[in-house]
Amino acid sequence: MGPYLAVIGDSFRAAFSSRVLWVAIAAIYLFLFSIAPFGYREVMTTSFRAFDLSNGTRMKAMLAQDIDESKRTPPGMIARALPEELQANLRKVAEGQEVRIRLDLLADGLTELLERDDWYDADVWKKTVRLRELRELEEIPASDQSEDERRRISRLRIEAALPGVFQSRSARSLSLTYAGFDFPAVFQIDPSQFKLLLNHFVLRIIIDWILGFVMIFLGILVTASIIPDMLQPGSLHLLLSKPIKRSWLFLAKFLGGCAFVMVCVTQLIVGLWLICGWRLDVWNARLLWCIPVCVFLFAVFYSVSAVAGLRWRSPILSIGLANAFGALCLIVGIAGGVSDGFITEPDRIESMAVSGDTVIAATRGAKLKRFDVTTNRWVDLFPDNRGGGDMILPPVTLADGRIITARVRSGRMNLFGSGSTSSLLLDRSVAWTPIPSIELPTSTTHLFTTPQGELLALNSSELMLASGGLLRPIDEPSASDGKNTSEAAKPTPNALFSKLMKMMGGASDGFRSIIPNSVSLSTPRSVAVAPSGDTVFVYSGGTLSRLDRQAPDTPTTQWKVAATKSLGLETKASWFRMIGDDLVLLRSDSPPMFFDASLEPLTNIELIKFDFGDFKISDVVTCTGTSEVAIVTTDGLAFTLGLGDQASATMTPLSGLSEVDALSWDAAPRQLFCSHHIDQVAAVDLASHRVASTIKPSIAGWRLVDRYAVTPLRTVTPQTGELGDTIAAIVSGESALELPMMAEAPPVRRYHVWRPVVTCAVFIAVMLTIGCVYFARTDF
Amino acid sequence: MSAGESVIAVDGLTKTYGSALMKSRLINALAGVTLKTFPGEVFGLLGPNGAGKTTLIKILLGVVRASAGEAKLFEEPAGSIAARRRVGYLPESLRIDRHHSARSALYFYGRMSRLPVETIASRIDPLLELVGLRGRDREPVRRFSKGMYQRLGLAQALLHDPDLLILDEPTDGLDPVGRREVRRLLLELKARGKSIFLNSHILQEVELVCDRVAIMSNGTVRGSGTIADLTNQTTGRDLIIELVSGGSSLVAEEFTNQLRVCLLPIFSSRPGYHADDVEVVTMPSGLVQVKVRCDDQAKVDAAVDSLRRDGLSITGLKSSRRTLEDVFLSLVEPREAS
Repeated sequence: MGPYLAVIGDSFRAAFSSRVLWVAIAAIYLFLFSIAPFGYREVMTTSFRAFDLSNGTRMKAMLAQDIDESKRTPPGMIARALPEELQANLRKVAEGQEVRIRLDLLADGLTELLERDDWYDADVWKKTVRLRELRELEEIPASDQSEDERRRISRLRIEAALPGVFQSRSARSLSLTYAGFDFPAVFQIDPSQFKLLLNHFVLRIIIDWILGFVMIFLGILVTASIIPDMLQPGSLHLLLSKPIKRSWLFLAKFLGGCAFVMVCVTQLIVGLWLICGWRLDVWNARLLWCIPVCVFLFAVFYSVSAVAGLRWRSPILSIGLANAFGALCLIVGIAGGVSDGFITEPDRIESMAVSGDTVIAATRGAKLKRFDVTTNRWVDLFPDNRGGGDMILPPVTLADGRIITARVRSGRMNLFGSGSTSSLLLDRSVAWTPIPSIELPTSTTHLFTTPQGELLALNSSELMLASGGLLRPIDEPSASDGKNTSEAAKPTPNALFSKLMKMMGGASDGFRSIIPNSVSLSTPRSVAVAPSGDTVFVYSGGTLSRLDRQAPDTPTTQWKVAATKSLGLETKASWFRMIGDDLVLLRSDSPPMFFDASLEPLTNIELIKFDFGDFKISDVVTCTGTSEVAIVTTDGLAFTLGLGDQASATMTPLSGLSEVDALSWDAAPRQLFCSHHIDQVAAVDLASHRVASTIKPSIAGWRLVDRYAVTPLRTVTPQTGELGDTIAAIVSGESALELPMMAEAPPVRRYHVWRPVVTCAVFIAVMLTIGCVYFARTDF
Repeated sequence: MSAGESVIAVDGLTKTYGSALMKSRLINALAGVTLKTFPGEVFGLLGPNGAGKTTLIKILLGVVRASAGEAKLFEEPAGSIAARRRVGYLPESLRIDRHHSARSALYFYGRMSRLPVETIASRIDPLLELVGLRGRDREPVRRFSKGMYQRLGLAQALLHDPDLLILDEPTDGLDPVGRREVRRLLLELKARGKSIFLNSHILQEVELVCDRVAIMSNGTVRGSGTIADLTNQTTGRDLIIELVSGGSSLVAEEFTNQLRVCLLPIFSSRPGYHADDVEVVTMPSGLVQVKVRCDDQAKVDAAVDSLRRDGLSITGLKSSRRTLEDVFLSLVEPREAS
């Protein structure tokens, strides 16, 4: 290896003698010095930001409802203390007008309240649910309170006054500084959000643009002449007269060419790592893995440049071809992105419900589809072709075999949708045509059913129940009272109040809240319904609650809190599910926690075949009638978790399945339906963990173009653009980006970590093989 | 290696450049070259531009592949790693990367020759001394003159102590002193038993250092052997007979005719007598020089006898040997013309 190592070493010397390298190094240090003064200061979370408001509509309604001078309620006192312009808008809302109020204005208005306390009255606030932190802070004498503590107290009082409105945030925030000075704009961020922002976005953007674009272009400019220079007769003949192999010489020159980029990349990445560590206390050693990844990315383009240089011996042509190849990659990447965005992703199954031999699926493109066995195709159930921004609620199967779901207009970007959301009933007797039924509470995200045929609707702040009798087509007369729902929906004298209640996410007609006042339901939260249908388990704000149906169950009675258990866990997405007669709380990257029905922890459970080191949960489904739950991860893998006799828990992978997106349990045949590879479905027999039947639909139209044109093109073209995903995954140590918002299943963007690596590696291997063969067989 | 073994053995070597699909563009660079060199020998390769010398060297080094025939170095196929281990090569227009100094370049090429680092370190200084680059060894080579490049090239060729040196115009760009140094160095290497394959345009240099030469033209070897063999066997010697003429121009013309009549039957090499075969030059002093090409002593004796029989007085008789240049031109020019 000596001669070839000498060639590589010589390339380093050549790189260091290059003026361009020193210019690049100077630019790198200039950049590093410019970002080095960034730092942070830990402060109490005080100021409100627009994205703190998880339910702006509810907040608007709560403030508007009590803005009248006569209402001495916490929301009313807050509303009347807001800026005049906001008050005027809220009064219009109270009068029933449709007024759009920007969330940032609301947030700014609330932040202004932190500076004073004339809106606060301790007596009025007595009825609110106050967090322990607030109680502790209030115990500090006013004279001893710091400015931050005073503002924090005000914030917590506002949060207590407006429950179900705010996104959970940690008590401490980071305030960014530059050279010791606070940023001119208030920019407070949670430590966890800061880490997410840094790892998934900031570092990725820096590495993508500075290393993935500027440095690679610069690198190609500098290194394009290496191979043509080697081929100069006086140089090449001397090299070839030495006892070395040509192909190895070419490879050594190629690796040496990467030296330039490696020198630059190493300095930049190490610099970033040190800055992140020293200035931001984020010592992320994974960042250093970006050095080989960036060099690898450069190697893709340099392999083109090297082979072109070998063939035509012209640096200019090498640069031109490498750039043309970069453009080709970009075009193919864009075509792939367009294909994903408009062809395959809209067809990807997001949730399913099974009734007998019928499978109903909701897709990311907000389509509701039924699988037609005779044509072997998915059939759209919505006659119109709309739906880009709509959201389909995960369909659920009612006790009588019907399926219920809903289409939330514009719900993908705005949970509250635009306009009211009617549930949609799908019945075999009418060929599964969606029929509008009972109106759902605003911002409903999940539906649950009970054996009694009831429907539970979960939104950002409430869990509401509708009796089974109301689950009928909207124009069908009620069997019980003879009235139809349109009559029931006639404006009442208190219609305005009703409207405001609905805006707040309160119960709509036919629904009633079952959450007692003492239980706060804030995101992220999770709900499990016991098989009896008389008990509901809720996990919210780090606390488990068991709610039991009271007898007699009248439309006015709320359910009783039978047990609570505070776990004091960090706020993050969690799945609280029934597992047999017990319960399991699942959280990404953590071992499962088991509880019995009275919420007592089940300890000393032996965990078998568990590896929760890097385990990102996407969804969990209870397999009713068994002691198992099914888990799908963000990596698209599926497992079952079985609890045996409260003694051991076993995790079993559903082998042979990959790219799993959604799960659905069908209790009758005891089969787990797994959607995978966009719109295929496998029914897994849970007893044997074997695939019992599959749905492999025929594809047509653009899906054929994607399969036979775009996909092959993406396969043979290195997906350099996707290496950004690889970098983000390396830096964050996570295979998917979990957006910190909403319920138990936050939006997840799965990173394609290995696909770009494989396509790029194969491409480099092919190019280098071509180069080696050409160099070895050509007379010079 | 035993004395009988060849260092370079080339047999029926041909090389055709160009694609077989486009026959009109085919170039026959070598058309059946056969030659051998032996250990301890300095072998000169001569030929005009385009004769195929560089192609031959490229094949010996494995830079290009032969179309047909066989080439071996030290009984190993030419171009094999085993063969290249024993060869030091100085290309005609050496190019060393600009970031190198003489010392770092020698280190680099030493590593390329698979020398251990310690060996390289121990050899660099003596070699720099030998080629006259001591004191300039840490300067970037971009400041070097052509001559210094050549010296550095020689040093790298010698660095791994090869058994065979293939030198392509080694004195190109050197001043007279430098050339003399190189010649001295070559002779010294020869004395140390090294084999040298020298490609040079400077015939005087070849004459001075080479034991044997091969003259190539149009891809073939036109002649090879020792310089003495080439100058004697191939073209013969010039015989100059000096006589005294009568005096006036009329008399001189008759005298010239008389000489031709007397000598042509003896020296003419073609059927019938050609006046060109006997060159007669009359000096202003009246001295007449008769110049004939002759290697046969019997003919010389016959010419002297014939002139004496005609009563002519011979004042001088000289035999002059021909130069390598004469031989080179005589071998190359007719074919080139054809």
